[in-house]
Amino acid sequence: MAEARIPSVADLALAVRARDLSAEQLTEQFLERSELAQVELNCFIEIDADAALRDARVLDAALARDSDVGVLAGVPFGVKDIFVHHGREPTVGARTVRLATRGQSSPALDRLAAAGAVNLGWLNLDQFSYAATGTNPEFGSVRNPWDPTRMAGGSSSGAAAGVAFGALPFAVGADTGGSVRIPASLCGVVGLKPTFGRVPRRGGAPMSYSQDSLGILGRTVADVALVLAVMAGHDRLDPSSFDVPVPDYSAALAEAAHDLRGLRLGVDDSYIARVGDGEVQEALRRALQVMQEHGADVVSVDLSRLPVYDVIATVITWAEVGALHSQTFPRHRDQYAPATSARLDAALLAHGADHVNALRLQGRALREFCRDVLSDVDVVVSPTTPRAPALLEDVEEDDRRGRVNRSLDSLQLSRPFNLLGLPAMSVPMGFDGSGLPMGLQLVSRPWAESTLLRCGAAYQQLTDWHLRVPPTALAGTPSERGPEAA
Amino acid sequence: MDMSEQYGESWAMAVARSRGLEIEPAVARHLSDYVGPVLAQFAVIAQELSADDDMYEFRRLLAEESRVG
Repeated sequence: MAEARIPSVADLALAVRARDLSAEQLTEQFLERSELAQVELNCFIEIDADAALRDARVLDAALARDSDVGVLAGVPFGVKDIFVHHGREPTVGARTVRLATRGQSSPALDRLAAAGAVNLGWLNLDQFSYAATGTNPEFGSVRNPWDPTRMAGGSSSGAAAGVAFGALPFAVGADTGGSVRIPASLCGVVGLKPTFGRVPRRGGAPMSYSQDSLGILGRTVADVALVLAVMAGHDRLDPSSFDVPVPDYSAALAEAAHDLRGLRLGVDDSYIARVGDGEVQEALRRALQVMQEHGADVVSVDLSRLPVYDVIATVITWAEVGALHSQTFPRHRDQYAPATSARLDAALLAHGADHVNALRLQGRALREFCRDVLSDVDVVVSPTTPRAPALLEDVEEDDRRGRVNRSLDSLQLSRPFNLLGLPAMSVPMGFDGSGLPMGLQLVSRPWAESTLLRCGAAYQQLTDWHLRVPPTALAGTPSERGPEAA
Repeated sequence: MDMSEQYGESWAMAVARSRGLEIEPAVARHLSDYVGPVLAQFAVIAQELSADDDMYEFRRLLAEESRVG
């Protein structure tokens, strides 16, 4: 397989600040890649080239005045289309049904803009974010960059595919049951769901108030760490946001690079054997062996309560998603895709008392998991997804018939950690016999993103999975030309 | 009442109707098969709750954890 020399987010920003090339030139390069990605993979709802170039020129003008242009100076990125932005309403993956939004700006996106990042456009997703396949009957499915006949996973499908293709140095997604981690795993990139409340959610269309988290997708853990430091932090106008200091994640990585010594990794082989297929299990075993050989301790933990947590998460999701669509769905059912209708039919059966009891159980579950599992290990390790991505034609047929089981299968290793609000990250851990990527999920205690990032970065120093380039993306990557001089 | 009655086809149709949805018997059967087992499992899980469990515990714990280490 070909390997990438795609510059890191830090290197791109450095190149712009050093005026090796202008923000406008860098934006043009990635807009060109984004247009290619759109043709090959259908990553975008909308590429906004005019706005991106305008923002890049403003940045260049600031640079010319020797103004501080931020740690992400000129770095292009994309955003899952769930945010209101400067008067533009998000599609949330639906063309014909629009949910009400409050038109608030997103502090997370504002922080990225203040740090100099340039938004290239709005990324494709499952309808209303309410699935994990990356298929969309109105905007078209996102295709997997490693095999365009396969699903990319979702619901942050365009984000993962765009980063994997090399069209976007990083992307912003949202994760309620695995919607950053699942497509990251199936597309071979890094996907981080931070602790609940770590990154403010204001301005983003909700799915489940009690479980939603914005997330970051990138090629490397180092890239994700840099972006997390920009996006994270308290928002006094977001009740879900916590006032917890934001560490310098990149500095912490620099201090602990390659160092897995003393890190305790927890794994439940029997649970994973029940859930995951043989190739995923074998890849996990190899990943643990690599980390163990470089100093990590691998211990057994008991993940048998994860199915219980998944049931609780399901009840919360049904109640909260059902509530969001309770006015529009009964009146406009025929405008919803069959698969979304099937999910909302189920969601609207949820009972209010069950919802409250599920929220009461959420706290119990977190206390139990911290006490019984995380007290003994630093990181819980599992595959992110239990098996290879399904063929798109099969998933699209399921969608037309309103069948949801395939999507639910993808969620079982990721969704319990949304209930628990824990930071969880997927990093590439290899390729199966068909050349399809597999993801390694790392989960830690609340607010311990530094531990996750350290573990993931060390693993990436010891492996090269994240350097591989998908066959759809091989021609004319920016790395092959190098950043062009100003 | 066994689960087949508690979360059966008639239950699904009645609850859907109360939400403003008219669904066909085939859809109701499918929903009963899909939703029923989950809610039945949830009913068992919910028996773990005690009077001391409240819905703010989750956020209290996250706040507590922010002071750890």
